[in-house]
Amino acid sequence: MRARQPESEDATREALSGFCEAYWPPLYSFLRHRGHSSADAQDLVQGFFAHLLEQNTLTRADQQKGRLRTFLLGSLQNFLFNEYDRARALKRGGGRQIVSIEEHLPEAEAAMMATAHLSDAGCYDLVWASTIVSRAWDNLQTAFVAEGKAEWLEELRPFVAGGSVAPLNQEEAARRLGVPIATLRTWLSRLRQRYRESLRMEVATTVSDPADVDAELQHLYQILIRS
Amino acid sequence: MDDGGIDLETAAAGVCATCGRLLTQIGPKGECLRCLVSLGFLADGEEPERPAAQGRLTPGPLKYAHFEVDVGADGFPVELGAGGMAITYSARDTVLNSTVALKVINRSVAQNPDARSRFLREARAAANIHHPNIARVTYYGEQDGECFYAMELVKGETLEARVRRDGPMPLASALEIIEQAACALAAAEACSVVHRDIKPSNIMLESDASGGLTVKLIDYGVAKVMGPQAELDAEQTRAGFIGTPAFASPEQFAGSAQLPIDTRSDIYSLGVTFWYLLTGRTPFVGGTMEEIRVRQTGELPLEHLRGMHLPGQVIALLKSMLAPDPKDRPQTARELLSAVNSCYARFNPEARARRRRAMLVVAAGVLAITAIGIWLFQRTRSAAPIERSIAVLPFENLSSDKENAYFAEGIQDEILTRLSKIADLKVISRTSTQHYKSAPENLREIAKQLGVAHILEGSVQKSADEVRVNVQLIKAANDSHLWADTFDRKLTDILSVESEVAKTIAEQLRAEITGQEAEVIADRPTDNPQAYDAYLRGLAYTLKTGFAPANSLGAQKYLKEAVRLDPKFAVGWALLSYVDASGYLTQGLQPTVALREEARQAAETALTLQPNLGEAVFAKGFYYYACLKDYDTAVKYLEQAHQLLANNGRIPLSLAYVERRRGNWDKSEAYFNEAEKLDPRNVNLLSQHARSYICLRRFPEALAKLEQILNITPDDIDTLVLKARIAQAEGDLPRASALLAPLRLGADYANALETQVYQAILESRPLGVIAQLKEILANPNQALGYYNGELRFWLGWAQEVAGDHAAARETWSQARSELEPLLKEQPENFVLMGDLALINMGLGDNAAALALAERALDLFPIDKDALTGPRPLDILARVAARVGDPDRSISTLEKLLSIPYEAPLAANPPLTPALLRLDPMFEPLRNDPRFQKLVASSARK
Repeated sequence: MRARQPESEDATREALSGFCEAYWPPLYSFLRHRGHSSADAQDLVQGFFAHLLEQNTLTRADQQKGRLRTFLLGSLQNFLFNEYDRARALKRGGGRQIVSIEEHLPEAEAAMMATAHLSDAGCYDLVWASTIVSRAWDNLQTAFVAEGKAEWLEELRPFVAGGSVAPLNQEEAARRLGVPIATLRTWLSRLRQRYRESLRMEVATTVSDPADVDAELQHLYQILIRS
Repeated sequence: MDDGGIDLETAAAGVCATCGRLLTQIGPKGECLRCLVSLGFLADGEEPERPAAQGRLTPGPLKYAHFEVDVGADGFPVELGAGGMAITYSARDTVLNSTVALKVINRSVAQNPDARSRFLREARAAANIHHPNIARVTYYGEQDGECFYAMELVKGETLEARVRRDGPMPLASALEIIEQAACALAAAEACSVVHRDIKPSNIMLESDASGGLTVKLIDYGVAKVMGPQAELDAEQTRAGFIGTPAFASPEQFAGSAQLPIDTRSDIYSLGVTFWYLLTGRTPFVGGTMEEIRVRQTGELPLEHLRGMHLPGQVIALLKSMLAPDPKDRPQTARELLSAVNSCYARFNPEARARRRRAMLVVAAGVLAITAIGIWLFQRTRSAAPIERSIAVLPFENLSSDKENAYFAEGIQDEILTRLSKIADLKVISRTSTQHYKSAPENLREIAKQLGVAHILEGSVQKSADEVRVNVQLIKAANDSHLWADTFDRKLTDILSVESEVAKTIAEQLRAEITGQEAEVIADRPTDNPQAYDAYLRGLAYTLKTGFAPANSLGAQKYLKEAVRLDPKFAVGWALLSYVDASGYLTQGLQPTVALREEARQAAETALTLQPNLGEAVFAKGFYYYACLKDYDTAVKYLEQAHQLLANNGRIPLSLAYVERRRGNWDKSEAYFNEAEKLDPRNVNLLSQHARSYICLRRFPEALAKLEQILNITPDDIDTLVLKARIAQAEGDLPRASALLAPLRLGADYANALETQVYQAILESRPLGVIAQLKEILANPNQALGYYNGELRFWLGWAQEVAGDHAAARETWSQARSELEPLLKEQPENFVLMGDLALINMGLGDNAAALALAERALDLFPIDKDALTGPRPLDILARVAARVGDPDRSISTLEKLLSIPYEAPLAANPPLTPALLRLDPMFEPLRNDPRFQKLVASSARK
């Protein structure tokens, strides 16, 4: 989300809820990766969002001429350092380490397993990249459902989005959809094109300078392919 | 080139069916996020551009020993690829001043001394493999806790990128790649190096100056080094797994403790890669690695290959490479190579020879390369298919009403027919093209299979009386469009489109057209659109394979309708005559006198309307052959038609039939060969050719022809059944049973069903087929005519073998009462006579049985028909054996074993010593020494 100047309070709230929904997973994973318990991590992300809102930091993100990804991570780290530690220390008494990794590993989510070998920031990046890529797909799905094309998207999904289910051969899919193979191929091509646009739009909301979209996109690619 | 040699994620993760990577990053519905993100900056058909290294936070030059990593415009190092364990850079060797690929291993791996020394060992081994298909390792070094090595920089793309961009490859290209990769494996094997991570992203394609492709395997020796390191870090390597799951061998899954990893493991991975090249996907997909492992040991999903018309040898090669047990695979890379080579040779000897010459040039080094190159170029050109040759692929039916498929088929055939009348063009018969898809991807491959330079693709859309025809003329060598056009016409005007398309193609291919040919092409066979529509419907039935009664009936019905609507429709009359006559001969239609008369009248009407119409002359000749067995007159007309229809494979084929009936088996074979040139993939033709070999008891040649058919239509029931019949005739009942057991047949497959029943009788296990036959006969299909009665004969025989004589009697009685009236209608139907003779024999009415056999014998002397003429003798031998006339039976059998013929029961293979031994009808002769001698003999070929 490019932090635009909201037009009304409702719009602000809506924008904020969208924002929080989008960037909650990487922030949460980062905290979990650092060893916070699930409950603590949830509280911390909530607190961090509240903090952002209070400080009106989102507008600043836009002015920073940077990437939301690095900006948010930096802010979270600052938040942890400046705000949270103080608060927790006061509450729990002393600079004692509150969570221990060993204790909490067993309850780590299945998704966390795959990031175990990464650094905290690497984990954040990976979850970030996954979130952006998934959101772009979700947005596209929503659009297709609105256009009444949910069914054929379901049919075409394996061709474009991979997954553990092998795509049927194209002839079979064309037959099931009752269209000629040439039409199916055109659809697939358009679907890829639309996803490409959707992904670019999603990425665009996270960078302040449109010129950064390509670089950020390539970065996401690197993160996911290397992981 | 991702470095994915070392995916160390947990075994619980699945594998993406599309990209083959572990599914650790998935969307809410299991989408593979790696696939999705790849789409992000790839236009369709574009290959991923390797982004500059964003991974390095500090821009600026990186140096490893005397290698300087290249720096991109953005100031970051130029990355060629990156994986979990290493990054590959483009770098410059500052001493030799050349570009290399520099692979720098992750610190976490490099910091372990054991891993480092193993890595060095492997790098040394890999450096010793000198082979043009392997990217060579040229330097190894350690620096500041990192280890790295330099290897030959391959300028090209990975197979993965290629397949992503262009989709599955034609067989010829895939085979060529596998062949080169097998050469690489052989070289590595000689140095005792196993790759362990063969997959499309580790195989690169490099184009050489002459446009040829060289395969380069990269990352030799890397995976193995990475592997044992994995054991050090229990968290990451619980599975101890090395390789990319979708391409890994079963023994890699099992772990090296259980099975050693050797070249055979690489052969397996190369097999998966081969599969991927052909289909664009991997054969085994699973939600988890465990699932993949289980699937690897199950059946290969051969359905992925359906419709690709892969030769049997290729499928066998895939099966052997992908055998779960290493012992069942090619044991060495050399062995693999010779299997690939022979595949190549069988599949396309000409291309193979050309390639060998090209490879020799490479081997000879640079000496005289220009001269040889020019020579080769000329050779290659002269070996190319003639320019004025074309195959018309099936047209796609784009009509919303699928019923209109006949229309697309008809338009295609009519264009093809017009083209085939141009003597200056080589036109492949429709029967050879009908198994291809409408708009296939591997055009070059198809053109090669058919030996043509051009392909015509098309589509037809019909709605009410509007028709849109789209055609594309493609030059196969470079896949370029020579001409494409769309015609929107009224149904009434469709004929002009066919003429126009044919004329334009002739012009495009610069074919010379005589004045008469131009006339024929432009001819409008009818002005009545309804008549033409009916004709196209009838035509579509005649184009189906096989003489199934339903096809003959459908064709006959619509063609009659066509000529009723336009009595001056000469082509319609001619085709009707052909349908009637071939139905009469093959008994796809009930062979009544009336049918024969209709065939004659139709041919004569066609000839009267248009005396020079090739189709009409052909119909007349075919009538003389099929209905009158007047072979001399038939040959006269057929030869005349041969002049008029230069490219029509049906004519030499008919001549082959005629000569076969005349007993001129050699001449017949020559005509078969001529027809095969015009119609190389006509299943019916190949099948008839195989039948000739079967009649001659030349079983190995027959089986080779049958394999040719199965390469085109892998599941063709009639062909599988013929194979089973050969096995029976050779006395190999288990082999026959293995072929027949999977087939589930209804009454529509006459010969096939009879063969199953015969098998059960030969095996003395009749109970299953008794139930099956009873079920079929409970609802007899009346259109099948006497065939129901014939089935009842088989049921009676099975019941008798089962020892239920009362039931057998009852069944036979019913069969007799069903068939006797039919014989009155079809007094010359020798099949019917044979059935009735055997039925009477079963019922104990010996006199009637012998009388029928004799009558058939009188009506069909062998010299009148060498193919089926001896059938009554076969019946006679059986009847005589049963009615207590062993002398006659044995002398008849002696005669039969000495001649080629087509047998009356469960059609085809003639009697052989093995069948005499197995067939229970000859039971009464068992103790006769003369019979024993026959059983012990080998039948004359």
